[in-house]
Amino acid sequence: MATRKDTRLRFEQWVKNPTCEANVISAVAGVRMDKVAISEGIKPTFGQSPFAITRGNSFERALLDKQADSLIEALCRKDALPSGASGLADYRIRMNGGSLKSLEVALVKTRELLEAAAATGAEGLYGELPAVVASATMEIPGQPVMLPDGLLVIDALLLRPAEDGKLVELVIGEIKTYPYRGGYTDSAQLATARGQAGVYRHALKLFISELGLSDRLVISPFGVIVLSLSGQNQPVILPNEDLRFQDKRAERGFVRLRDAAAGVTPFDPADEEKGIEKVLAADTEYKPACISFCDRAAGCRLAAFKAGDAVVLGEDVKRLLGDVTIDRAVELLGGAAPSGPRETELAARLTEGAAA
Amino acid sequence: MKSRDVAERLRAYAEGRPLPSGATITVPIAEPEDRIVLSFVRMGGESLPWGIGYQLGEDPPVLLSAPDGRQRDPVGDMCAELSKVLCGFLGSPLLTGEAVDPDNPPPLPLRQIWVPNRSHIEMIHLLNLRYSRTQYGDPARSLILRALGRASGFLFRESEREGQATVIDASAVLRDHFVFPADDMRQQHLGFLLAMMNTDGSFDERMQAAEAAEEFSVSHTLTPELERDELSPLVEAFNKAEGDGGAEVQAAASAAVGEIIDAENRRRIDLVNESIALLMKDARQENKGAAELAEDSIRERDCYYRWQETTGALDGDVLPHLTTSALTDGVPASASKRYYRMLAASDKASVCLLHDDPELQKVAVAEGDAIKGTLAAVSRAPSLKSDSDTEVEVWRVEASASLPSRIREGAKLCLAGSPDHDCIVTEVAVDGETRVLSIEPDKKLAGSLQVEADVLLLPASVAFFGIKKGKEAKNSDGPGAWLTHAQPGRPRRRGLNGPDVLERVEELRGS
Repeated sequence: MATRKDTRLRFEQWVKNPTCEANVISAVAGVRMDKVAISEGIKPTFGQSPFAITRGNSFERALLDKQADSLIEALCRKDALPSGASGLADYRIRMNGGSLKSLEVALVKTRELLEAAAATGAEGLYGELPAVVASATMEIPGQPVMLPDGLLVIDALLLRPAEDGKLVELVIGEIKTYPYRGGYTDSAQLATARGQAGVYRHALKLFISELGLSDRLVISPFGVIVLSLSGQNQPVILPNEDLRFQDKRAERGFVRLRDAAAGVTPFDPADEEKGIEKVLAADTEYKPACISFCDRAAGCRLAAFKAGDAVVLGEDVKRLLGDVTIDRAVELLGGAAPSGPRETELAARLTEGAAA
Repeated sequence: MKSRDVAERLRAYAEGRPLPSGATITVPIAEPEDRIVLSFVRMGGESLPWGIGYQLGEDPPVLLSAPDGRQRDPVGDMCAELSKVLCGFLGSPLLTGEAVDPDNPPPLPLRQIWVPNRSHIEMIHLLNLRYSRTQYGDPARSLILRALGRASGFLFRESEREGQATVIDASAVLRDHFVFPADDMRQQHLGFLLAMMNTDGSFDERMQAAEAAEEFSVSHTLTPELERDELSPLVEAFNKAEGDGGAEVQAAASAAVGEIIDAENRRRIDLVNESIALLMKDARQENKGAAELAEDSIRERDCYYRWQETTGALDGDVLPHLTTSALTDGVPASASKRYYRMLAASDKASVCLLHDDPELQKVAVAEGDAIKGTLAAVSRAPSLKSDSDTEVEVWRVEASASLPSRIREGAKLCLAGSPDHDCIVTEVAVDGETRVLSIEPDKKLAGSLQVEADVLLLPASVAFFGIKKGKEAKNSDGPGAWLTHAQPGRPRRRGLNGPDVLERVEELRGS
């Protein structure tokens, strides 16, 4: 079974609806939801635009071209790297326009680089160490947090002298293709980018701790988001993005995810059919946000609708109605006698303002 | 979402159809010749249009596309075409060559740009970002593109001003005027909303039609399947033929791409036209306050777009002397002024529609911004507004205390239907279940009400304060001018990861 190796994507999938059992199994076991949808006779709709993929690759290529000169220059201008910083270590795999054969090779190279950075300290930045590492690859160590694997790839890892001037500080860089629009840049997209960078920061902490390098490398609490200039391949740098909260979120998320994984009856992750069966057999819990990422959302919505679940009228309606069904709420709104304190309060809230 | 909104959504669900929200149409709809319906389609990952569709009034739609949305020149040519139409439509003489006195331009009625949803307004901002200062390519074309950049900038900024009537997001207008029995995410889709509105039959039949409509994108992006299965092979064939010199293959691929993109834009334009038609045939009257908002929109356009373009044209300048930043306002004084104007617009938009709409009035009362009661007594007392001993009429208004109220002493209210005459609240008290307000009405209202008359007091607009403060912010002599008129200094660069300053001093001492 070709399980999805992109742990970050699976983590984000889980975060979007952690209360849906089917989503949890899909995320922790790497069972692709589009394949589950196909097995149900649903046509998947969440493929990525081929043009968007090409655009992402070409933006990344432009940034990393000529030893990432344009990217490093932009980072220096924003003080994300010290002036004069230079050098690129490109750990991209062939599929992504790099030269490495596999993620495993990238993992070995990243490990070696971090060990070298720990050994040389900040002095190495003026010689053997690069300023930017493209596609630094990490493995989440210890007891598997994610099943069946835990690989994470950072878009751009920046190396710079730490505050004491002796150690190397690592800065998470997240590259996004969408254009920078000042204060109008989509806040949800920026929040997602920060969330992703926070996951990387937390994973990097774990990875470095596993390598025994925690006291010889510093991880910056701040990250860098790289966006594009509208209609161009020029980078726009958003430095000093505070990742501490997102790191905590990832830490809590990984713990909860591990708990969720523990609750899943074990099965062979290489057995695709078994995985699909498991997801199909699991309970679902529809949320409007599912429409944005899950191919099975329409079916779940229909089921929620049939059950009278208020979530089909929106999260706010659900928040107010709780477990009361839509039909019952309509009855209360029409003047039906409430039964119990919960319904009494709800009826009062629904008729609030009617006196005006 | 408030409890009241939840109740409305439940009612719509119970009825099995969208229900009208509000008693009036709060958006002025310009005459057909003063409306452009505008739609964009972009290639995945790109930030400029791949195709543009526009329809001026009742003319047939004009559909433009580039064979490959990544190519700067074909996309630039297409945007230049749009520029000529859009700038002229908004009253810029720059491309028409008319001689216009900037201080006395010929009057132009409200002109509106209708778009299917918010994503198309974002595309307008991207045009602003990309083209406002472009120097790329043929100078004649770059001049036209810069004009598009500035027009787009004005339109985008205006779209952010509350109560504006120049850039209309059709799906937002439908959501403002109807309550749909669906979650907020689905209500972003114009096709979904229209199918819910226009399908006859049961709730299930409406929902089925709406679900079918949802299959098609209405935003500026295309569905990944369409891009992957149909457009990608065509674009690939077009680009491959360019290298191979296959002009015929290229022409065929280009035509096929154009057909798909044009159909996408045509569908979006049709949906917007359907929305306009739906609002126009609505039995509800246009709110009288909407005309006032339309006047403000005309003023904003003439002041912040036409005047600037006209003076630029008179100077024969390639770049009119003011090209506003697409991201922010770097001049503190004008940023302050704009901020206050935005506040004023927001205040005006929230109160000027109230007087003509009983439903909005009900909401204002329920939320505690307005008060509905009875005139219990009329007396005379010295005015609290001035220091003189002149006696003025004072109203004692009694209302139910069961509803929340945000009205405090000193608040300015006005009688429903008399927005120009302010009443000052001089005292607020609660007596058992009754809220008692002492009110000093505008002297023109004195004697206008009989005791025991029903009274509805609405919040008075304080927009003029914002306008006044905006003007003060521009004053280079006023208090605070040192903040707004100082030359902004270059931001200090943070010493990156260097040693602590004190440590560095010690180091230097040591050396």
